[in-house]
Amino acid sequence: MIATAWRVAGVGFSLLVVLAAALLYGVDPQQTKAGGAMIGEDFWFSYEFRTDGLTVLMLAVVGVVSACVQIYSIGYVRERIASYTALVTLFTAAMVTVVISDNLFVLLIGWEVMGACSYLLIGHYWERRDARAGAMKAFLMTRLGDVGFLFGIFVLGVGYHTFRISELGSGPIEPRTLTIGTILLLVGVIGKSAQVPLQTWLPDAMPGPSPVSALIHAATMVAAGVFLIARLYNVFVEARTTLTVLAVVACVTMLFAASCAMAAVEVKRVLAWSTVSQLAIMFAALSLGTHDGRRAALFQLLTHAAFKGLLFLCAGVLLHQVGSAAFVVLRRYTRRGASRKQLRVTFVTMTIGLAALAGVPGFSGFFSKDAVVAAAWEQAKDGSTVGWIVLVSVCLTAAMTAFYCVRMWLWVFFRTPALAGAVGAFEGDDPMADLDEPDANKLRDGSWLMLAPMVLLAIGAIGLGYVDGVHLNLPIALVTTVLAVLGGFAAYSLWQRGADPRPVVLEREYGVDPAYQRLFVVPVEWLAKLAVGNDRDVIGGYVRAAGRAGVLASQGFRKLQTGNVQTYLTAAVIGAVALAILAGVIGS
Amino acid sequence: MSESLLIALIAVPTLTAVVLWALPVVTADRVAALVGTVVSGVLLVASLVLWWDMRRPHCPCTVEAVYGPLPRTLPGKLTPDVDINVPWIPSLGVRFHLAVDTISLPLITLTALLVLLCCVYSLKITPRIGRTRSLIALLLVIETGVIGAFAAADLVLFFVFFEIVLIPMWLVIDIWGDDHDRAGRRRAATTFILMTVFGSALMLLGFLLVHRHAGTFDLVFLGQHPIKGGHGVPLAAAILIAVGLAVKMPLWPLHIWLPDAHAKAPTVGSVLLAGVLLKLGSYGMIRILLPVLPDATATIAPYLAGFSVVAIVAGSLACLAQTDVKRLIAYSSVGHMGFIGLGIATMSPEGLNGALYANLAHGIITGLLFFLAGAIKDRHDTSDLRAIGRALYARLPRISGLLTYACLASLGLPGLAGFWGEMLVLLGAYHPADWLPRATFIVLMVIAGLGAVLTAAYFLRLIRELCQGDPAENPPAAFAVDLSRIEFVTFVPLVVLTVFLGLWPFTLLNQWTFL
Amino acid sequence: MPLILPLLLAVVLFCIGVYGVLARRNVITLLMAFELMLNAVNLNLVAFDAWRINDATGQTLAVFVITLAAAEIGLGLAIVLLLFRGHGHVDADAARDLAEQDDAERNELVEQEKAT
Repeated sequence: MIATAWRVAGVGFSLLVVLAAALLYGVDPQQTKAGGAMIGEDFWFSYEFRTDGLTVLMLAVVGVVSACVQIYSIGYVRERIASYTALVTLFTAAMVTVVISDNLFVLLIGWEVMGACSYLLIGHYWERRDARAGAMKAFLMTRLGDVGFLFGIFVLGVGYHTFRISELGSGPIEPRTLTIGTILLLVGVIGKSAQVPLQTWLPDAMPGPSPVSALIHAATMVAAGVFLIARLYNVFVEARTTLTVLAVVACVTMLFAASCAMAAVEVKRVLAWSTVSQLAIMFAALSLGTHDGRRAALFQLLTHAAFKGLLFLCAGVLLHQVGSAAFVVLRRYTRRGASRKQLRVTFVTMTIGLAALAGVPGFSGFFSKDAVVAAAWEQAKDGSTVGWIVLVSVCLTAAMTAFYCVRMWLWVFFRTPALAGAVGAFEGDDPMADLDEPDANKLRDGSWLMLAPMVLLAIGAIGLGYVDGVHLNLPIALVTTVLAVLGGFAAYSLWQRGADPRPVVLEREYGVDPAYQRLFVVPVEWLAKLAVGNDRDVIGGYVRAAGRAGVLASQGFRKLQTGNVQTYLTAAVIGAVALAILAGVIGS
Repeated sequence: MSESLLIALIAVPTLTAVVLWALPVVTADRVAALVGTVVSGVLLVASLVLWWDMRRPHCPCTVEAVYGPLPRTLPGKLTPDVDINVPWIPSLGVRFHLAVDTISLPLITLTALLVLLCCVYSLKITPRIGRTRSLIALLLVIETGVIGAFAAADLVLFFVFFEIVLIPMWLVIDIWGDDHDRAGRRRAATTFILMTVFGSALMLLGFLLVHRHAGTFDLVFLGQHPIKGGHGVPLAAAILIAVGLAVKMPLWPLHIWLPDAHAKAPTVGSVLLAGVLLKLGSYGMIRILLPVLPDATATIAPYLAGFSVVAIVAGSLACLAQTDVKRLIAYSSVGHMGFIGLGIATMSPEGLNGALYANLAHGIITGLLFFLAGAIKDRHDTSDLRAIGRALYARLPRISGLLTYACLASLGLPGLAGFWGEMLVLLGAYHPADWLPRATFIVLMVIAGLGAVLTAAYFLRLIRELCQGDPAENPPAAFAVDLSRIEFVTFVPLVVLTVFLGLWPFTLLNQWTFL
Repeated sequence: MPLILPLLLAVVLFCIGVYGVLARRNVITLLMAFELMLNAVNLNLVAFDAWRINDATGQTLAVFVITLAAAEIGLGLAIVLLLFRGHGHVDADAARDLAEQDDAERNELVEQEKAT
C-alpha cells in the first residue's frame, strides 16, 4: 500500500518534471527567489531560482530518464520498495534543484543531497559487502570533491560579492582569484563526474540496482558536473588556465576509462567505465571554451542520457534474468542464440544502445561525437594546443569505444566460432566452466513495465541525433567512422579467434585503487589509532597524573600525623621560637 | 510580563524539583515524569512566548523599524530585551542582572525543548536503577542552571548558574549511569566534575581580573565599554576565560572528560550534556570574550582557531577508531564543537552566525543521535559495536533508518540543519575579521574542510558497521522491538526541526545581525 | 630585690619544664613538667606585680593559675589513669592511637576488633 503510494508519487513527480519542461519550453528566462538573510554587511543568502534554455533541456532529460527509471523499477525492485522509490524521487528532486537553482548554495544543497541519495541507493543491497563498500566509497570521494566545490563557491562568491549564479561573471575580479575559484569548483565537478583522479568510485558503485545506475549515469549526479560547467560557462571561459586543466583531465580520463572498459569483464563495469569516458568527452568539448563546444557537450549529454540509460536498463534485465552480468556467466546462455531469442527486446534495444555508444552512423551517439570532434577541429585549425589534444584523444576514444562495444555485444550475445579457444577467455583457470549448460528456457523478457521504458529510450537513442538538425561534416564523419570500424573490427577478429587478451595493468585498472588504499586509507587508519592512543595515553595521562599527584601529596601529608604528642609540641615550640625571632628581626 | 516570564523560566523548574522531593517517594516516583513533562512543556511555551514577544513590533513604532534591517552590533554584545536588574551583593558590586536577547533566547528555547523531550522520554523509559523522582528533579535543576546561565547579564551570576549545573549532572552520571560498570561511571562522573570545576575556577579568576580592570561585573556595561588593549591584564583575563570555557565546550586537548561522561551517562543525561551543557562554553565565548575583551580576543583568536581545528581533525580521527556507539557520538561532538570554536575565532559576522547556528543544530542533531544510541543500547544492553552486531536495517528498520538520517544530518549534509553552521564557519574562516591573519585562517579552513570529509567517513563507517550487513549472520534478537510510540513522539520534533532548520535558515540567521 | 633574680629563676624553671614536656616519656613526668612551667609563669606574674604595679593584680592571676593548675592536674591524672588501664603503661611515645595509619594497617585493626 505504502509502496504503491510511493510509486505513484515517484512516477507522478517525474512526469511533473517533464510537464514543467514542456511548459517552460520557449518561455523567456525568468528568475524568482524566496527568503533570504543578510550575513554581515557583505553576503546575502537566499533561495533563488531561474529558468532558461539550459534548465528546460536538463529538466526534460531528468524528467524523462527518471520517469523511465521509476516505471522500470516497478518491475525490477522487489524489496524495500518504499524507501527505494522515495530515495529515487528525492534524487530526482535534488537534480531538479541543481538545474533550476540560481544560487550557488542552493545548487550545493541539490548537489550534495544527490551524493547522499546515491550513497543510500548504491547501498540498497546492503547485505552485500561490495555494495556497502561501493556506497561508502562513492560518498566519500564525491564529498572530498564537494569540499573543494564549497571552497570554490567561497572564492568566487567573495570575489564577485555575490553567490547568485546569474550575477557571477559580471564585475571586476582578480584573474588569480578567478582561476583559483574555478579550479576549486572543478575539483567538485571531478569528484561528482568521476574524472581522474577521483574516478574509482563510479565502477565500484555498480553493485547498486541497475535502474539506479541508469539514473546516476544518464541524467543525474555525474551529469551534474557537466551541467555546472555549462551553467557557469561565462565564468569558466574567462579562466583559460582552468579550461586547460579541464582539457588535460578530460583527455586523460577518456583514454584511461576507455582502456579500462576494454578490459572489464562485467557488463555493468564496462558501462560504468564507458560513462566516465563519455563524460570526459563532454568535458573535453566544454574545455574548448567556445560556443560550439558547449553546444556539442550538451548535445552529447542529451544523447548519452538516452543510450546510457537504455544500456543500464538492458543490463538490469540481464541481471534480473540471468542473475549476473559477468561475461563468464552470460556467455553460457549464448549456445544456439538462446539469450538472443528468449530476450528478444532486450537484445534489440541493447544493440541500438551499443550502436549509439559506439558511434555507428545514423545513431545519436554518432552525431553528438562528431559535433565534439567538429568543435575541436575548429579550434585545432587555428593552432590551438587544447584543440589538438582534444581532437586526438576524442578520435582515439572513438576507436576504443567501438572496440569495447563490439566486444561486449559479441561476447554477451553470440557464441564464438572458435570453440576450443573460447574456453578460458573469461573462466580463468576453470576450463570446465563452459561445459555445463544452464537452462536457458527460463529466460524471459521482463514485463512490459520494464520493456516500455527501454523501447522509449531506444527510440531516443536513435532519434535524438536528429533533433538538432543534421550538421554533417563529411570528412570528420568519415574519419570517425573509419576509426570506429577499425576498433570494432579488432574486437571482432579477437572474438572470432575466441581470445580476449586483457593486459594485467588494464585489468587492475592501473592499480589506482590499491594505491589510494595505501596512500590515504591506511595512513588515516594509522592516524585514527594515533589519535585514540594520544587521548588515552598522553592527554589522559596528564589528567590521571594530576589525580595521582593529589593522592600522593595527601599521602605525604598524612605521614606528618605521627600521633606522638611530644612531636607536635616540639613543632609548636620551634614554631613559636621561630616566630619570636622573626618578630625580633622584623621589629629591629 | 516578559520579566515575570523570565523569572518563571528560571525559578519554576527548581521549585518543581523541590516539590517533587517533598512528596512521598512512591507517589513522586509515579508522577515525576508526568509533572516534569507538564512543567517543561509549559516552560517551552513560555520561552516561545518570550521569543515572540521580543520579535513582535512594540508600538509606538513603524513597521519598517522592526522588519527593516535591524541595527548591526558588535559581535556578541548584549542588547538586552528583557531586563531584570536588582542589587544582590552590593559590597562586591554583584547584581542579580538577567537579560535576554536574540543570541540567548534560541538557546533557552533549545534547552526547554530538550528537557521536555527528556521528560517525555522518561514517561516510559527510565534507567534500570529507578528513582525517577530524583532523576526528573535533577533534570529540572539542570534546566534552571542552564537557562539562568544563558540569561545572566552579570559575570558572577553567570558563574553561579554555570556551577549550579555541574552537581546535578555529576549525580545523574554517577547514579543513573551505565549499570554494568559501577567503577567506570564513578570515574567518568568524577573526571567530569573535577575538570569542569577546574575550568570554571580559571574562568572565575578571569572574571576577577576583568572586575579589577573595569570595576564592574555587568555585561551590559562591559559591552558598551569594552576593555581595550591586547596585552597584559586583559590578555591574561582572556586566556583564563577562554581556557575555562574551552574545558566546558570542550576544545582539544581539554576534551578528555567528554567521551567517558557521555559513554557512561544515561540517555537523558547524554542528551542534555551534549545538547545543552556544551553550549554553555561556546555561548560564554560569544557573550563574554568577544564583546568584553575584543582586543585580547583578537590576540588569542589564531590560537583558539588552531586548537579548534585540531579538535575537528583529532576528534574525527578518534571517531574512526571507536568501537562504542556512544563514545563515537561523543567524539563527534568534539569535532563539531571544534567548528563552533573556529567560527568564534574568526570574529567575523559569518563565522559568528555559523557558530550560533551550529550551536543550535548540534544540540538538536546530537540530541537525536544520543536518543537513538540510547534506544539501541537499551535493546542490546550494550553500546559496543561488536557486541550489537550488524544488519540493524533488518532488525530495527525504523531506528536504524533514523540513525542513518541523523548521521547524514550530523555530517553536515546540505538541506539539513548541520550544513549552514559548518558552511558559514568555513566562510568566516575564508573571510575573517580584518585584524586577523588571513593566511592562517585559510590554511585552517582547508584543514577543517578535510576534517569534514573525515566526519563523513566515520559516520559512514558507523552506518556500515551497525546498520548494514548480512542479516543471516546477525539474526534479530527475540525481544528487539522497533521504534516504540514514546520514542516516536520524542524523536519526531528533533527530526522535523532538523529539516526545518536545514531548509529555512533565514528566520534564525536574520536575528543575528553583527557588524 | 632586683627584678632579674626572680626572672632568671622563672626562666630556669620554664626551660626545665619545656625540656621535661618535650623529652621525657613518662606521662606523670610530663604533668610535673607542666606544673613547673605554670609555676615559672606564676613567679613572673608575682615578680612583675611587685616590681611595677603593686596592686596585687599579678598575685590574683597567680592564684587563678594555681587553681587552674590544680584542676588541670586532676584531669591530667585521670587521663593518665585511663591510659594505664587501657594500655598497661604510661609511656607518651607508645600511645599513638591517633596517628594516621596506612589503609592496610587500619583494616587489620578493624578486623582484630571484630575478632575480639
